Amino acid sequence: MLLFHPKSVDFAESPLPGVRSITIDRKADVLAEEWSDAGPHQVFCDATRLRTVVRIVQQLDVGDAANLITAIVPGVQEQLRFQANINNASRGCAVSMLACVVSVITELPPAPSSLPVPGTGSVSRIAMRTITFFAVSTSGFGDPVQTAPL
Amino acid sequence: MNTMITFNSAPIFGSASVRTRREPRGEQLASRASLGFPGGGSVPTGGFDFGITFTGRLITDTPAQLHDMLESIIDVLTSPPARNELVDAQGNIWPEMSFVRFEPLGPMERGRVCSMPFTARFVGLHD
Repeated sequence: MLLFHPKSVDFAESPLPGVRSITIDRKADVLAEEWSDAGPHQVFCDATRLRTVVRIVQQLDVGDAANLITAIVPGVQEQLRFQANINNASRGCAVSMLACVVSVITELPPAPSSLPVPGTGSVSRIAMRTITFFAVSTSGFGDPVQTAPL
Repeated sequence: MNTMITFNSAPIFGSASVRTRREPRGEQLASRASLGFPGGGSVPTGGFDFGITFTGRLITDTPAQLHDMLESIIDVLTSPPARNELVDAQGNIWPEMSFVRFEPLGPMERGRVCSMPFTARFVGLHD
């Protein structure tokens, strides 16, 4: 799932401003696989350990130190919530999950992305921060990503 | 041809997919020194038990069904072991075999279905 410019993104009840995109990827971390005596082909496959990876790409203003220093560090586990308008539906949905931060990567794009600050002669550079979460299921059985129509 | 493994005509592992391994055949050897004989070398002490080991995965729809299947397998592990006909997944028939060991090779795994890897050993015991 790929969402551009989702609305009302917050983590641990604090808003995350400037979110450009959110991706939700699902993959099998462990597969149960079997072959039989009957031939060379695989006869059984099941995804027995699933991982849901959520990546939030956030635009930061380098001049705003408050945006750069946050309590979002690996290991923090809190509720992540945002609103999404999927497939241009007239009504969006609210997405929520218990999410554990696994990485916070901030990158400063190369110089051509720098923008002059009007009237100052200085250059404001736009930084992009990618926060990666693993979504955690409280039951182990239920999907950690919950959606509800708005 | 691939059928279910049966022991005493019962499909003991359900529809589990299995690999079959025949255990070593031949003569067991013991060193002469270990038996108190002078000199080097070994002496034969008798043939290996003929054994077949199945390695595979039990598969059910629910944890309760897997639990029931495990209980039914354990019920077949009698002491002393009973001798019955074993038919492997290829249809090979092994008369007078005894079910002597069942070992889960990991925890129950839950995905689309419930499954558990296992190994099971049958031997043709000497009289």
